[in-house]
Amino acid sequence: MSAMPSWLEQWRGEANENALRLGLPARQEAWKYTQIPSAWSVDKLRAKQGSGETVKFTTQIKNAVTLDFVDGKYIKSKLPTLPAGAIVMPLSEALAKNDETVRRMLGNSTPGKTRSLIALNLAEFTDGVMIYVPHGLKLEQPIFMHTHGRTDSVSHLRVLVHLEADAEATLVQHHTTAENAITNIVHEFDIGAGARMHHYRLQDDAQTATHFTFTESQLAEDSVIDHFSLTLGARLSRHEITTRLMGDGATCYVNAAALLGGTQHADFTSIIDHQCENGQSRQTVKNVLGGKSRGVFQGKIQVHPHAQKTDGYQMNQALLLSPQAEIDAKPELEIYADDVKCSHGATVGQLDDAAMFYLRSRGLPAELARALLIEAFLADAVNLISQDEIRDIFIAALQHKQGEISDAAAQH
Amino acid sequence: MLQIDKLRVSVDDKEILKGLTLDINPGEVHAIMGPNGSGKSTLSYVLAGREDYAVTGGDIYLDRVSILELAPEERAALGIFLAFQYPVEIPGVPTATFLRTAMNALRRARGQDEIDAANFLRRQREAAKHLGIADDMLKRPINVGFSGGEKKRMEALQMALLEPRLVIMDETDSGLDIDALRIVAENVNRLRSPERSFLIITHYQRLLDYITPDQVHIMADGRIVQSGGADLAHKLEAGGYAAFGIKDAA
Repeated sequence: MSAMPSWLEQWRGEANENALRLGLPARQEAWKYTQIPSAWSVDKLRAKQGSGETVKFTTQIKNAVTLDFVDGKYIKSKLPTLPAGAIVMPLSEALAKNDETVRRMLGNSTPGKTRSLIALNLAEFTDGVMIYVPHGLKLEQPIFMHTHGRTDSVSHLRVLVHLEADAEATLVQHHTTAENAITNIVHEFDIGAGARMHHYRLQDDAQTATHFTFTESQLAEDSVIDHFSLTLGARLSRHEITTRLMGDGATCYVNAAALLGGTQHADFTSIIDHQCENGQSRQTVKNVLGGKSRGVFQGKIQVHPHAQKTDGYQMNQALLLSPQAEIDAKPELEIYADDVKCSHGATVGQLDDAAMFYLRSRGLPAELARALLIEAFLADAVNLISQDEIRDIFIAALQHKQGEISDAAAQH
Repeated sequence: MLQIDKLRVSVDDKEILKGLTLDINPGEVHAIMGPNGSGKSTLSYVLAGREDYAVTGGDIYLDRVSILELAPEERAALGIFLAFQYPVEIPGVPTATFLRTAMNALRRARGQDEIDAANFLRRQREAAKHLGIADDMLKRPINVGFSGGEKKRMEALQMALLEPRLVIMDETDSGLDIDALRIVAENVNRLRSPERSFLIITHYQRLLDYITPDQVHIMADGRIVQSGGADLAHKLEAGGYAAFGIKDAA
């Protein structure tokens, strides 16, 4: 990155040492179900340009503030005029301006202290997005971040979002790659009192790719964050998401869905940290697993002693399409307050034979009936996206992936 | 149109149908009556192509061609429609989406053009009106939270929209109040035509008060034991299955 402020240079140096000292995660309880190939090292994951065609981004959201990245580098953007005070810009640009919010948010070094991939991201990030929405402003235009990693590239991107009190914004991310690309994206959300943030990500990397995502959110009183991740791509992926409810009456949605086939492995690991009273958390995690794929869900809900009247709900459901597919689920409730409501449930099942026969008896070919049932299974997660245009992008990607899984199944 | 020839069917090595023979001509309405456990539901599932049933002998012909090897959707494309005794609830799939998907799947399989959204809505609205089905129900997921009567009316709606040639009704009258029964029966009478045949499977005679069958068959222990005209149903109603020497488990 050109024009790096001196403070950042120093932090990156420290982060790099930290990453090297920690090494890549291995044999840790938090990574019990997910292994990074043992031959990999911190040095293998340094930012690297890939090779091959420059991609054309085809997905569009009308009226969106759009920012495109290739191999972690900012390419271009469509930045309609924003209301006064709102800032949406590539991180490189914000750093060149030595923006104070960026400095403050990057300065939160806690997450990187113990987690090498976050430290490495700080040391290596080549760009990202910075979003700032001032007090009381509801940003109508969604912000659309589109990233692509070319063959063999390693991308490190950082996304910083700060909403002041009563502000509102929507961030949509669409990630794609070519073969063997590695992506590592770290998000930080700082959500002010009464503010509302919507965060929808679609990971549709190549089937040989690797994708790490870290999301750290902190919520002030009465604010709402709404996360939804759809995982379709990558051979190995992990989304580690920590949401801290730090003010009374905050609400978070930490939802995820995955549709996997082949030998894909997708890990969704979440921590919801209720630190204050009257907090609400809602979590729906759905996995549809075909082939020899494996889904992992580790969901921890922590309720601190003074976080009374917490209302937590967690539901984890998996649909196994083949006998070789596997789901590993580890829900964890750590409750230290005595006046709380926390419920969680988990189900693992197969496609319902009776429903399949019913649909086929009405003329739907088996593949279509199957696709309809899979879509229905994922619907209550995907339907949490309230804007039609955005939801349609996710549904289209899902349908495309279903087609691929069916083709693969048909060849066996 | 439909010929069932000495059909033998087993489930988990237990023989349920033991050489059942039945012929239905185009435009005819046949009723099969029988006590519980006589194999009525098995017959309806086997006709519609449900797996888990082993056909161990005999054959089923539609227009003189065996359909035993055909998948359920292929049988549907040929015009076989089963109205389920227990319609399946499918969360997450809006009823209207399902109806249009089914209609178009059948149209494609029958070499017809797909129906566009406007025409679909018009036909759906028309058919729904006859059956007293509100728009709101069509937006809800398939059969989820529907009462027994609502589910049977939804089956009737599908029957009307999917234009079958052979309708099999499996105990449609069970769990229906008298108003719903009348609506469902009127739907059948409206759909009766010289090309369309019906096989009405029932335990009781009351549905036949509204739909006059051309032939009535009494089934016991996996076979047809007696056939006759519409009056056979009345005899059965008067004397019960015992009058025919059949033990009724119910």
